[in-house]
Amino acid sequence: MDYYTLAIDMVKKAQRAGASQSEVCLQFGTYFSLNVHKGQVEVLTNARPRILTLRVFCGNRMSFGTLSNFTPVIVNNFVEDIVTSARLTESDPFNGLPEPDLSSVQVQDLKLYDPSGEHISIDEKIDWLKEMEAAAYAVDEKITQVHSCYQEALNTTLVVNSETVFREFSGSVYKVSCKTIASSDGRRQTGNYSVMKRYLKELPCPTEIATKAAQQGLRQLKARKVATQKVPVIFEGKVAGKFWLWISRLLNGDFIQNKKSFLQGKLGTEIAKKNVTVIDDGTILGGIGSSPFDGEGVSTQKTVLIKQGILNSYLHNTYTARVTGAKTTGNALRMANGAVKVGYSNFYLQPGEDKPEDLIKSVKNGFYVTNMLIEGGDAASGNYSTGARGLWIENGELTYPVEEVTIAGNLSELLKQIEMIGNDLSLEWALASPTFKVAALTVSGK
Amino acid sequence: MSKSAPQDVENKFNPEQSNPSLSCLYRGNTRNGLSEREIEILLSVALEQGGNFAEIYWECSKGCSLELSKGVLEANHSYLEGVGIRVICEEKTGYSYSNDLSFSKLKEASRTAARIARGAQKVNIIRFIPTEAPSYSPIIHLPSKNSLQSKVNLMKRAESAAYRYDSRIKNIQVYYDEQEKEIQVANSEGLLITDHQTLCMLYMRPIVQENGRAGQGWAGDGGRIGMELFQQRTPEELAAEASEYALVRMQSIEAPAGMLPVVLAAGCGGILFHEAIGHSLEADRIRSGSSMYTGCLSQKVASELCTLVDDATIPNLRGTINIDDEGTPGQRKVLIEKGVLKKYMYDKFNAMRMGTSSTGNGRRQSYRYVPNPRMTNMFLDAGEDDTEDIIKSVPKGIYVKHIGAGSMNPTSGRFTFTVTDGYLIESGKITYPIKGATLIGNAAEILHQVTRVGADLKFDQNTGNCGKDGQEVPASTGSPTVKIAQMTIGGTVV
Repeated sequence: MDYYTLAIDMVKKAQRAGASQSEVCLQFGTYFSLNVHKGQVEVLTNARPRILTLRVFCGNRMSFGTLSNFTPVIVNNFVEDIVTSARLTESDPFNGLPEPDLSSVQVQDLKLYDPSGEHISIDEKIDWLKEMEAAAYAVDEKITQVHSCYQEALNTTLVVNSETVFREFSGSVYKVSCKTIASSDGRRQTGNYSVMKRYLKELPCPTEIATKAAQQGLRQLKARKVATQKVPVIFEGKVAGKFWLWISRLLNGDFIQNKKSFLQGKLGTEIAKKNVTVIDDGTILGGIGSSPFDGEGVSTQKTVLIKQGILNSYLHNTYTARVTGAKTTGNALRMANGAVKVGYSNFYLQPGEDKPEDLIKSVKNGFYVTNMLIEGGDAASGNYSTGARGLWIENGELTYPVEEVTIAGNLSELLKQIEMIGNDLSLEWALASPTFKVAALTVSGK
Repeated sequence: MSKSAPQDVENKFNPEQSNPSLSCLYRGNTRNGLSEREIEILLSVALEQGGNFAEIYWECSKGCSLELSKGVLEANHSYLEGVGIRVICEEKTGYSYSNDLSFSKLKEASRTAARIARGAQKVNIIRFIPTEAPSYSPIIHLPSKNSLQSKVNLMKRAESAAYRYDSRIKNIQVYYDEQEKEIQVANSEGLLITDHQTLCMLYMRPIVQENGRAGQGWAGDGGRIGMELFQQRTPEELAAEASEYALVRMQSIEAPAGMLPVVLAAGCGGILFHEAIGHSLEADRIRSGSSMYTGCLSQKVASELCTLVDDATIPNLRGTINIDDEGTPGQRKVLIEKGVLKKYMYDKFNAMRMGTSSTGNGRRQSYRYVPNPRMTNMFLDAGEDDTEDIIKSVPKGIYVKHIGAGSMNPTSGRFTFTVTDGYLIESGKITYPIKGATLIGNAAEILHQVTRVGADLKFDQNTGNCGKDGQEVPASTGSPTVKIAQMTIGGTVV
């Protein structure tokens, strides 16, 4: 099937049906996943998914839809239905396609695509997971269960619109996860470790992944409860990225223009300590969150959101930028139902100068977070709470593992209480962070 | 029929030339699912390399979502159709799916799923006996037969009612969602069955602001029901509920931290039992040994006040299913009866491995997913206690009216839930609304800590989904007023 012709024709059909502007986003590719348990394949999934979303504007009225059946009769009916639906919606002066992006016609190659997974046989992948499973059991006899999973997705994304934009890029994702259960004296704990890379050869060896997963669970077997108290908290860099999900929401154009973020109306003001600089960059070569263009076909960029504590910019798509009188930052996120929202690309706290060990040494009595388990945050008030696991810090040293506790507080206060930032930023995930220390947070235990 | 179709029969039939698979859900020709002949061929191809079981699942859905925000209406539509093909060979599952419904692509998908077997023993395909699905949810006004305008009107009524309710309401977002789906399930055991499924919901989020303080509210309703729902639960009624909620939230004070007794209001506790207990009673977790209830049938696992039920047959609830996504009819199961564990929830695969039969809990988000055991309408059954009395019995504690996001670690049993609408109980009376509280507990202990159960069983708002293993399915939960002796409250006031 020629998807390119399909997309271009659909835009033409929509225009003929009465749309003033229209846009098709089409994604197609291959998906493969493999689960191994007790040396055997459990589930093997292999498919060629494709999904098409059509967005149509009749003046300032908009409607959109998703379609998975591309037979001509259905395509025609679908286009007509979406255009009809657009006419029934309300006019919104901020609706419309992005202004044509004249500065870059060439789509930048960000080194996001590696099809080598297709040339590795299924048997080799099965063997790889079996090796990982065996390595996990070999770490300690207390490891009683291991689940291993491999996923591979190769996708091409195409954005075509009536302003003669035609952009495509291909990306690959290879993900390996190892989940272990450690049991001892009637106690059971999980340990998880997963890795996601653009290039197959960048995946670490199976033993490394298995060992990290197993050690997590083993350590938690000795975990103790702690009393509820207010103490300094250090977030380990590798997991701290999840924390920045909340911050990305506070800066999200959708939340801002809906007045659902307390950072609304605060551009140019000091919202954090001077050591805090937060960046979103869609142009990082090989980055997990990178793409040459966003969900609307606008080129991505590097945006400094918080600059030395001052709120410098929000994340925007064309619509949210227009509502707030700003410019799009190339952060349009296409949802599965075709909606265009705002998302982050590679979002991170800029590293500081301190060595992570020095952060730990600076704490007499506090908590070192190695896992966060839940996101319960309200961008309007800034209140958040999360389950967490980690190690207790006593006299500048990491000591015993701590059982699941809750950390609750307010993000507005927290941003102003980041005392130290480590130099250990690693962009392994789309949300990334160096290790950082917060002066005082309430840790709820027993 | 026992073997793959011989070549000459295939050539004469030539399925590539059949009509495109249009469903009556869309404008055009009406044909529900694949033809019997197509299914026969696909099943044969699926079992070409061996295997115990093969299944062809066809799905077609039409959905519409509307959002009204600041007077601006957004509409989106989904027209989705696809086929999922599954082969089971002992412990292994091969799966492939396609939304390219040309017969050659479907055969290719079948061949891909078949590779899991690789020369194992082959089962005979049993001839179809078409069966009819039960019908648990009567619908009077099908959403798809009502105009887009009528739904927009409902939303506009909610919007104006909220602004009229209180001048401090600054912003409200109103959502309407509907989906009509048709599924067809056929398998090598002779099953051939179809079902028509309807879902709709209306919900809203107002925000109040005054003197730098803000509060967010929520209210909604829905289910496997038609537009008649909104004559019983009018947009005005929902808007008033949501606005009152927002106003109360604006007054909230910091929550205490520490261990306290908790009273869960009728209708809100269900989600806690669904997450903390329900998932541990699903057969995949039982079979793998990762559930705390593995091997515990007939043991006392809860206080005698606890009877926990999963019932797929309750008319019009969001979790009600006529058949599950493997074609098994929906059923009512008493999982825990007066504290004793009686039953697990099974899908086909796990039932096969455990020597029993499916309980109609095999569900999937769409044709792209392998089914797994999932709940339908999960609830703690009504007791006999008096609600007022239960609250009066608490000298200092927390009263929870609404629980938001939550999750549980199934291995350690530790769970955490955000309280989105909570209050202090002081000397047996509900006093101040609190913010920023979380409920922390352990699944193994919680049911033993249930000390009072009211007679007022109520279900949730029928707008939620259950997420597990990366898939979401519609579900609903219920409970009466329940008192938990003590739980850890994660607040900020130490």
